Amino acid sequence: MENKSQFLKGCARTLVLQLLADRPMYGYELAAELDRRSAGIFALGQGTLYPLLYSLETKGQIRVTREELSADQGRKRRYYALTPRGRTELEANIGTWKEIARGMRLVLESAHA
Amino acid sequence: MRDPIDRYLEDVLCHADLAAGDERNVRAELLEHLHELAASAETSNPMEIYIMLKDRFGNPKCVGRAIAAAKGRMRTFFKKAARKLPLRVGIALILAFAVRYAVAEEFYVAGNGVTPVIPLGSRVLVYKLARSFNAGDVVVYRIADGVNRVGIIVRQSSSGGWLIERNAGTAKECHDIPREEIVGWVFLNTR
Repeated sequence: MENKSQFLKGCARTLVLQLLADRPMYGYELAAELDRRSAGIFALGQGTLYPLLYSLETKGQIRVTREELSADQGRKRRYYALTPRGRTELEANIGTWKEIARGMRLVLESAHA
Repeated sequence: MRDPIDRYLEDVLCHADLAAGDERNVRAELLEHLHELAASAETSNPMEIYIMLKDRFGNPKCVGRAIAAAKGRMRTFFKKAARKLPLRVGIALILAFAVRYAVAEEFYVAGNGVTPVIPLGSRVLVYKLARSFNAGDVVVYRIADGVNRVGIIVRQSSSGGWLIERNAGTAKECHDIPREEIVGWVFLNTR
């Protein structure tokens, strides 16, 4: 369902900010955590995580705080952490989300009541 | 079949087409992720691993393009251009010197040799590839290594050189100058 994947992508931005608000994480860890904490609903193509991370990085909402070289040549764990700007963005997004959820619930529940 | 992780990663990076520095970082980061993902697979069959990566990580073309968009296509363009800049400046300098040596050279007129046509203190640009001259053309010619003069062509001499006239104080003087000592024809001046 094309619709659903677009919708999830929009939400994923906020969820990534939320996960990074707890502690710095690297890509695979973030994908696994997203999958686990959302009971698999956000097990979206893990590759889509990186465009998201890079665009958040460009916007200054997250930044790389630590890089860890793997034992294996050429592999690197890059740990992303929330910046103050990212925290502001997250709080704004949570506010928006709560409003939307409340509106959706009110309309849908009255329609199916 | 080649290592499925490398193959998949090359597909992604080929579609992302990033600047060298970004590509190094993205490659190292995705490589780590893909290895961890592949380690969770229950198979060691390369084809199955490739399919699993495509399924779990996403279509390499889509992922690559999305990464390119996130890094900013304009920024990538300028980063790549900046890398090539030293080479381009080098080529430009070589071309500039080649042109100066073979085609056109600038001179400063420090005398009254062709006043009032070109007064003292002018800058002139000389075309070096001229084969023949007409009477009245202003030319630059060499009288010794590194010493040049301006003069006006009178006519071709019987020896095959050119008779060149210039002011010498209040009088005029005329010299027969062989072609190889004539630097070229003045085609631009700041008068």
